[in-house]
Amino acid sequence: MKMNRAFLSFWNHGAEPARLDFFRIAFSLGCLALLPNFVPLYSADLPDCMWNPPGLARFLLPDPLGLDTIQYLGNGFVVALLFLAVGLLPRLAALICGCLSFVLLATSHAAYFYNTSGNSLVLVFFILSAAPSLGSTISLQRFFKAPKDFADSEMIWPQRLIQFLFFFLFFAAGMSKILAFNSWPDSENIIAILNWSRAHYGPAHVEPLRDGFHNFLVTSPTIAHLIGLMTIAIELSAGFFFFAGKFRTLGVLIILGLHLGIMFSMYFTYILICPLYLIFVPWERLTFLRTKSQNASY
Amino acid sequence: MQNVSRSHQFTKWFTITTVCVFSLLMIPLRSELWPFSSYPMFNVRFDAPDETVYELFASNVDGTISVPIHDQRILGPIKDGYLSRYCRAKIKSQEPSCLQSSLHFWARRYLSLEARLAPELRGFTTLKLVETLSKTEVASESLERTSR
Repeated sequence: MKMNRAFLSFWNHGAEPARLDFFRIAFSLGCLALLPNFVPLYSADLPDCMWNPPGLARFLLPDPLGLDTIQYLGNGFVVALLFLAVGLLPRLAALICGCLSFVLLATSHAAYFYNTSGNSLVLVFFILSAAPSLGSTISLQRFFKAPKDFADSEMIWPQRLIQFLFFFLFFAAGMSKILAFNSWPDSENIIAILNWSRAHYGPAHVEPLRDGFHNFLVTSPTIAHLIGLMTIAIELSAGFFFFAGKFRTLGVLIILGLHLGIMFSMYFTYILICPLYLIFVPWERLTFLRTKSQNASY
Repeated sequence: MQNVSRSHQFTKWFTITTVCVFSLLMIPLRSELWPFSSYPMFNVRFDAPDETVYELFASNVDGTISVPIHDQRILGPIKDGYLSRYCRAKIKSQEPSCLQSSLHFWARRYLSLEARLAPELRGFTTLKLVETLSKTEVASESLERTSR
């Protein structure tokens, strides 16, 4: 009984209800800004034997898409994102964004070795579309239709679920390194990853910081090994931080530190993860956006 | 506290259960069920020895000038750095003819983008896929420009 109550309380309390709509706006604008990273046009008119969309997309997208189709879908995605941002039919817009991002991101990763970091964006759109209270605090829709009065829990659970996606992403990345049973944090491997990423992603940019870090690690294998171990430790700790109540914010900051460390010291960025951080930003506390609030522990 | 309708309750628990269960299942399955994933970010060894390396080259008529192609706009969905893994996978799965189709696809992209490429990448007549250690040419495709 006690556990049941704790479980329900976990999904229904401890977050700021008004934040869902602020997140909706920031997230859709964030996705608009990241649109150039979706690159589905790269996969336009692929030969059949190169077409290998990931997971469920394999069944829903049996054939490669043509250039025109991708362009139409891309334009539709932009329009739906704008509707979601301003709050016109926000749930429908989120559902359309979910379906279109499913197709566009799957298409952009449709040839074998895809970037998994964008997966969560698709799920976030579907979660937003399942939130009946979406747009009830701030939206253009409020001018046309009187908003319903929703229970706070209706605005809290979607936030909790998006937080789950954020922490799960890092936890799963840590677990996948453990379950690979390949001594991933070995200094030789960490240095080899840097060598590989510099060879393929480095030459396009002038990167004294990254090059300096790379050169330092090559001569300090112990530090490289420690960095490998620390990466796994932080990734696994994400599983704990999701359930850690008041320490959740600390967890986000530690993970942000890891992410920034990867961004500035290595040659890849995982930039598609960034919109997920927006769920932890206390938008509703900004003075000019202040709304009725409750005590929340994030 | 306001009442929460049954349909809202159903949507809520259905969404929570689906997202959590499918996500968590991916960890032991170590599988990809897009958009659910086990997020295997760089979890493989990068220092594995004796791996064949493939590279895409653009060359002129007599083959005296060859320039490696790393431009993502030409490679399309095959990320630079994954070209070797892609070629190895195709050869391993007995689909070497796919490499020729891939080369045809890259040739089309090269021709459509040529005017926007760096000057040192323009004006070539052939694209070649080469195994760089043994310098074996795996496939080649001529770049035929249609004159107006």
